[in-house]
Amino acid sequence: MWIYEKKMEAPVRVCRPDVKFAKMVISQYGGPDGELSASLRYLNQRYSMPTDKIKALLTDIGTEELAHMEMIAALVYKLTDGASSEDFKAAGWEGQWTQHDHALFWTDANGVPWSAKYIAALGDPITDLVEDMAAEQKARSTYEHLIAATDDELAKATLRFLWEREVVHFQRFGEALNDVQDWMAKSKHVWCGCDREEKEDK
Amino acid sequence: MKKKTYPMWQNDEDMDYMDSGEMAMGQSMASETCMPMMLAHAYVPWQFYDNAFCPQEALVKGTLFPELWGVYPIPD
Amino acid sequence: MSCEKQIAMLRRLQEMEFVAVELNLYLDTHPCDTEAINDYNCAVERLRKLKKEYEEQFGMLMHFGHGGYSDRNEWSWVKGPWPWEV
Repeated sequence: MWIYEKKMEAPVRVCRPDVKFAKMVISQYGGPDGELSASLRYLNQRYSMPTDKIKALLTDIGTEELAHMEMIAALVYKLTDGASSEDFKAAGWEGQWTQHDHALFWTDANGVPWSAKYIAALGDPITDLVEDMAAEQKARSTYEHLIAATDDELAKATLRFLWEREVVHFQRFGEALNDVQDWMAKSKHVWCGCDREEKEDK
Repeated sequence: MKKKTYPMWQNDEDMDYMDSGEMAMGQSMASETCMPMMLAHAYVPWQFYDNAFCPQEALVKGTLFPELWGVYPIPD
Repeated sequence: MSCEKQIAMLRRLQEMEFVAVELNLYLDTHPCDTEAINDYNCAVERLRKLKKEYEEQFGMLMHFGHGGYSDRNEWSWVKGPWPWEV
């Protein structure tokens, strides 16, 4: 079950509104490598994982990604604070204004709406964890692109926090992968790894 | 193992990190890494917790662990 | 003035909770690391105190029974500012 804490995981600040940058940041809200994709991917995969440790890790990281999605929402909220229709037009984000006004919505930086096609869940623990590791790397790269695309120091600081979280998550999923690969090798009924002699006897 | 009073992330003036030489976590990992690595399988090195940023620095950097900070060039 | 104080208290909460989050994730893949468990428990203890202090001044931090008691005369949960406004 999910419980909400009325507080951001980390501070979200901007120096000034910047609608053009908000249009880019939204990619981490509803884009393929954004926080919504991440959280739904991990929270969904946990049902078909074989060990308690991995179920816990996917639950915890999936939950943290929801908190990151909230941070991105807050960033976009602050970057568009007080913006008029003219500001949206000048920023090339008139489509967003037309369809949503100041409401947030899950699209990528090009306005393509979020899709479950961004997520995979094949039911194989190794496949799914490798997918998760790839997702963390893609998110890390996207944050690097965003950080390079602004000179707003406060926004950079917020994005750098999120960037580092991807690095840490990659390490955790990697450790989970180490673990599940050992587990699969040991669980001979699932897959026979190094014990070739036993297999040949059958 | 002696019961530790102060956590590694504490940043009080009289901070007292764990006694040097007590690397207990290394032992707990031994059983986890006894399987040899297999071809066509990906692995990451295990992290061991033996140092921590203080909470203020951890929140700014986005990690509690110094060894996970700077493994990729910090974007500016 | 109380807004600045609220932000400062939230910051301390964010810092200590972040320590707990990091250790939580670490322990998910290192469940036998007793040093990390000890440090997690220290963080929990500190966090409980900080949350109690915060809620006494600014109302409930969590809903559905996980936060503190509500003020008897006012349902503090609905009170702003909400996190994206801070």
